Amino acid sequence: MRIKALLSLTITELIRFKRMNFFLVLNFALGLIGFFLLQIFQQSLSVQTTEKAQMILGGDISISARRGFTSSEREAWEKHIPYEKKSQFYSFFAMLRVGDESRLANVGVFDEEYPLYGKLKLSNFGLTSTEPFVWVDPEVQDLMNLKLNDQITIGDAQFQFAGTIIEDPSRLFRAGGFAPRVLISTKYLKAANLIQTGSTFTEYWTYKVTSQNSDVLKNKLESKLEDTTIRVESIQETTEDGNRALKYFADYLGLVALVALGLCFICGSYLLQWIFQSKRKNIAVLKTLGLQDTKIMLLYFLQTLFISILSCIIAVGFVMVVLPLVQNYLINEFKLPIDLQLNWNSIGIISLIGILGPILMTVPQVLQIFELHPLQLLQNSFEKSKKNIWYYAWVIVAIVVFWGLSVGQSQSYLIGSGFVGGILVLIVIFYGLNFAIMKFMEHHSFRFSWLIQYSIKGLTRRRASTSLVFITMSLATLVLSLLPHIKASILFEIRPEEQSQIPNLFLFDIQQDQVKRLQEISKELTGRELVLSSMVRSRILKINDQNYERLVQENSFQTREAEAEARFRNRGVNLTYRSYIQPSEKIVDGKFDGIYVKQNDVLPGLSVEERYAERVGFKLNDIITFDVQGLELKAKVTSIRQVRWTSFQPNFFIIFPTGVLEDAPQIFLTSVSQVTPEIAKKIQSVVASELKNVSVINVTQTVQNSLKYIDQMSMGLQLMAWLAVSVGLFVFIILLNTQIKERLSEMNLMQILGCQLAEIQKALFLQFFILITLAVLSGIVFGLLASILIMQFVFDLTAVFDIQYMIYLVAGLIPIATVSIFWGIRPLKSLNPMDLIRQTN
Amino acid sequence: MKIRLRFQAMQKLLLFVVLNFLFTSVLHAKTFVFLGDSLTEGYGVAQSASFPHLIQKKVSEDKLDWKIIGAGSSGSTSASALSRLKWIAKEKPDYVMILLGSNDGLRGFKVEEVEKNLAMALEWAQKSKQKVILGQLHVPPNYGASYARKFSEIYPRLAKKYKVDLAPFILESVVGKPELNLQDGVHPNEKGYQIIADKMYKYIKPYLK
Repeated sequence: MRIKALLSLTITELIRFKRMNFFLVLNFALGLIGFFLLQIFQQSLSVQTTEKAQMILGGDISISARRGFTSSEREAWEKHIPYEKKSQFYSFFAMLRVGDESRLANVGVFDEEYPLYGKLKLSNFGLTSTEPFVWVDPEVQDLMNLKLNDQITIGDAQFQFAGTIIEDPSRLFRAGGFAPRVLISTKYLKAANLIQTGSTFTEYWTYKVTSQNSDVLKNKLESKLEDTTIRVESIQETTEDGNRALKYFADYLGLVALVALGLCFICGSYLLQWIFQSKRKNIAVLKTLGLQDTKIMLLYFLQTLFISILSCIIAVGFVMVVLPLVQNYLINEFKLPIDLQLNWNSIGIISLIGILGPILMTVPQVLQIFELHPLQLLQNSFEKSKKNIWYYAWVIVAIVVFWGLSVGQSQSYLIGSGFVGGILVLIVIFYGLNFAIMKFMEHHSFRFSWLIQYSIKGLTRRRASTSLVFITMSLATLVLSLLPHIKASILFEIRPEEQSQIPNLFLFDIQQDQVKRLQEISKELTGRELVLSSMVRSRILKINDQNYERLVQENSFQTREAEAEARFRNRGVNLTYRSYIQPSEKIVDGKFDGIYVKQNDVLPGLSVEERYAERVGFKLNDIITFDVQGLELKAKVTSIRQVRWTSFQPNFFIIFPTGVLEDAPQIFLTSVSQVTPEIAKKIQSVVASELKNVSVINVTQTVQNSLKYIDQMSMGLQLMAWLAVSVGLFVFIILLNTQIKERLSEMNLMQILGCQLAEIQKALFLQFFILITLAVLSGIVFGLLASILIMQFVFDLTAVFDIQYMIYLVAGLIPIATVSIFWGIRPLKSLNPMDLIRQTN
Repeated sequence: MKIRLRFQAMQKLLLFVVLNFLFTSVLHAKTFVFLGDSLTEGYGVAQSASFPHLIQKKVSEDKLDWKIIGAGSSGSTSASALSRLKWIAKEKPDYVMILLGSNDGLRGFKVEEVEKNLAMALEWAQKSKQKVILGQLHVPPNYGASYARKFSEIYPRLAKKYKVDLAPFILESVVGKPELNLQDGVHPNEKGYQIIADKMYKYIKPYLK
């Protein structure tokens, strides 16, 4: 058979089964569109995360130390850095003086190249080093009543006030947090005479590198730099440290994209098998006419190739058209600052997945072609195909391909493997569950009316088909129910659930004798009392009589990490005491008795934060010996708790019950929330004049900005997640339709035998109602379990369930299923006995 | 039987000797307290490497009957001086060296405020007949010559006013030397603390008589 003839036959076949092929194209195109859009969104987030990290770090790689570098030192490390630009920056605290008034500031000293990434927003003009200018935080302008061109003294030099810093993306000089920022040029640093022996400052060198992964470069540099006080930072670790919210969202999107693609593959595989069942007679005819198996196989592959190419073209074309609209919609409706970019790399990946995926899925049908015997055509019966070694080889290849895709998408072997492993485990569980349910129903069906018995029989007689539908529907429901839980958990972690928890001011270093006055100020200005957390400084000396601290001797550490760990242990720990567990905390093991009453041999019970306990090796019932400023104190670990560090509440690693530390020297810290900016400013000013040692940090703007960003991002993500949900719903509807079609001839026979249409409809409806209810319930229950596992092992967060969404989901799926069933059985009315005879023959 | 009785008698004697030794050492040991911040606490080094512990080691080696206590609390400011001094005074120490004010300086507090806080503590000590030594402290030069000078002048002025001895700057030979400091460039490392302990011991030795 010539190629031309083969192509012509392929097109004829495609047209002949146009309705089924249309569904197939629609399915693949929808899945690819979902995956493609989500991938673009994820890539944009990832680019944004990297750009943000570059701006925060001030370059791709940063080398810093709390001392000055010599030029030979710098030249030595620069031999290993392929860079196109570099910048030097100093950061230190200094006093600003205007007339008689002086004030602490965090001074940043920039060179001509600063910043290597991002842009500084200044109130007047750009950074310039032509004159001894100084730019300050707006707070300094307010407090010192500065006007343009006013003279400010920093060290021994005079600077001219040139404007305020509106936005500075870098964190190079944010070390203290409690002092406002000031920018001067490196040209005038010498005149200020601030950097000399004994000065405490940080010198930074940041580089815009031409190639090489900055993490690899960091490791290389760290191995070359002998001085462990030199800090090397890469954008990768900055991304991990600083953009937790973005990282969660990117991971979430990766998961959503995989879910969309997974669903599309599952559905596509099902549809291909279903279409193949309809085509078997046709294939048998071709075989009878003498067409070779290989040619039939080629014909089948060519059809799938046409379908997949068409799906890809539709998906890519659709995304190309829709992307600018989506971008506009996200920017205008959600104020989401995101740049969705379509690149050839993504188009290439999508095309590869879109074409190779369906072809891979065609393999099981192709294998059945070889086993299909023309004799079966005459016998009007088809034997079930036996699964041979090639089939199992295909299963393995398909799993490996999906695993590769998952690993690529999640950029983690662990997460990718976990995802695929999880899906496989779920398939086995759902298969087992379906088997058990069918057996149970079969055994107990005799108790019910004939209609219910018949409906149950309809399911149990088609065990393989029921099993496939049950697994696919359960999986579809599972993923539909999983995403809201994950989203809710992420938002719970990064956003306080109550407005009252969002702070305006943080106050610390409050002395015991200042508490009363501070409460009076708070009552006066806010009408409320503050909740103060005590902070007692201590050292951990022993865990179960084993020394905890690490004595550092010269050259005793092989790695920077080992030294950092020892310093961490030797740094001491802040303790607090209270009788209760805060809403942002959860006891995960043991029990916390909030009140300690001294008894013989009974030690006070501690509550230790989970991750801290893991890091330092605390376990339940361990006896810890503390040194509380000269006094040794023993306590027992009686509970391990989880702490939501993003709760904006003062949180501690170790909590004592009341009745132990009250008399120990301590200070207090607190936060003020739900106040207007004016009241916040007033509190700041009263505290500054009356309680001079108390440090007040105004976080209103920072917190509001970050919360706004989180809200915008989550709304955008919600929109993206609906893409996956629509793919899931599509799968749901397709499955229902195909199952109904499978039963049409049987229903027609019942009609011939005298059954009323209403009865048949009732029987069919009951059958699907049982199947759908069981699948939806299983999907939801296992969705809850899966979300707990995913939150714990993938995101390392507390699982939060979105029950409201579950109700919506069930309430939405049932009517969709009902409408689909009634839509599917519409042809029943027009069927007549002749159709049955025609179909049989 | 005889042997057993003799053994029990020996045991009692030994116990008496040990208890007697412990009691005499505890009852008769005089105490010298360093009241300070992270520098006294030994931030970042093991407690055994902090300078009060190193001094205690030297005291023991010299067989002096003194107990050296380090009452350091990271981040503490001069505002805590009075309350902490009162807390420590309950144990009736023979000497207290006040080493507070570094954090005030690093946070750019007004020098008048630091002076007022320290003055309150010294005044109370004077009234309570608590022997006190004031430790000289400085702020780093990057805070500006004017502020640094004003800050440094607090200590001799207070020492003179309240007639207390003024100990030399604790970080004298350590400051600005990366090899003697932790990564933060502010807190001494083990080597730095050893130097501090040597110098400080030399200074306080005349008091330990």
